[in-house]
Amino acid sequence: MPSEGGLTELRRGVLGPCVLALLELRPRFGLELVRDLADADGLLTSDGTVYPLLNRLRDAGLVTSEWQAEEGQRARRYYSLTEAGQETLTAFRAEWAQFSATVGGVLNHHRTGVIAGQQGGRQR
Amino acid sequence: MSGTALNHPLVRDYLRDLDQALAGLPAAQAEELTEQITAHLDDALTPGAGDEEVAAVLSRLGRPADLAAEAATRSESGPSAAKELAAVRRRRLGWRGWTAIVAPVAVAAAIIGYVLIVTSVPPLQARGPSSWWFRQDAARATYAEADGARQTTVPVRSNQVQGLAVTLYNPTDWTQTILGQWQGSNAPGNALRSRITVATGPGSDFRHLRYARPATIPPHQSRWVRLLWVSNTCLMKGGGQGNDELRLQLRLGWVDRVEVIPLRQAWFVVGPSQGPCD
Repeated sequence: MPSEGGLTELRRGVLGPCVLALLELRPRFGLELVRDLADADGLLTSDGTVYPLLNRLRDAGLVTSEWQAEEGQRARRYYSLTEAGQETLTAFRAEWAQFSATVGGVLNHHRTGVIAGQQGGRQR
Repeated sequence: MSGTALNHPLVRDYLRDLDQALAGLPAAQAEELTEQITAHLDDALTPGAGDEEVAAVLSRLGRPADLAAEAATRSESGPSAAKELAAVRRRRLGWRGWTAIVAPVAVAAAIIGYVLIVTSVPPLQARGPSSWWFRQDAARATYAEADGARQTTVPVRSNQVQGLAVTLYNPTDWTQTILGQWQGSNAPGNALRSRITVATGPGSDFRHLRYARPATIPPHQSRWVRLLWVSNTCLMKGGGQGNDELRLQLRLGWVDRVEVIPLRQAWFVVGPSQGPCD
């Protein structure tokens, strides 16, 4: 059984690519990103963790940020995807498809084997 | 903008705890994360939010210590931020021990110590919202960012009053009183009659607060600070003058000192787009 700690690590691992995917659609400011991620149930353990992640992605050159002010509102820092970020996202999509198919295959095979074993026991 | 919600006691406590939790991180990293979290709260909380709403938003945000730990994982090569955090804590422990040893010294030494403490506490910090003071400038302001430096720019209005308003945060346990500007003007360019004042209380609608000088910023609170000047410069097209820090004279207890406060962005006035002005 996956522990809660294991799921947390899994979320941490995929959160970066998910942020990149959201920014692929359009630039967003912090709270927008947090809310979009929170809408994906179970992906975000706490809202605040998004900001250190954004800073790491920026340091890695995958996202960039700039201040924009809309009429009547205060300036907000908008994050957008860089060319390097787009390449990383594209590569991750390909790897993720392969990876999830592999993990899914192993998990389903394992579950089928356990059920078959239990049924066999009852028949005896 | 919901500056009122940022002044909610729960929010102030949270930001103070965050401030302490981030103490071991590099200053720029801590300042950036604090700015992001403050902006998040400013966006997430409705003006006049009640205890329940504020508590829910803060709960979703996560504990300050957890945020600090997450931020400390930023650099995984070389001495990690987490290790630096632990080292700073060890150093603090040493400082406290040293303080305990010298505590019973004579009154004269205590007075000297008082002055040293007052003069060594951190300066005010530019944190939170800021804006050009006049709506016509705010409407025409442009923002730019390059290599981590940010700049806001408006056309100069020669011989007219222009100004800016910034939020200054007092990160210390001392009330700080702003006495005035240090060494002349903080305004961009060759301004005339530059004058700085401080909001006499908290509030989000900065253009309708009461401003005065001298005025105080209580411990761990923010206040709007207004700088007005008469622009006295005639710039050619594309020419500009700006400033990215405030040099202020302040009083802590009975000690006066000068603080140079870096602003979160440079404030620039540039020449008219139609060519040289009259």
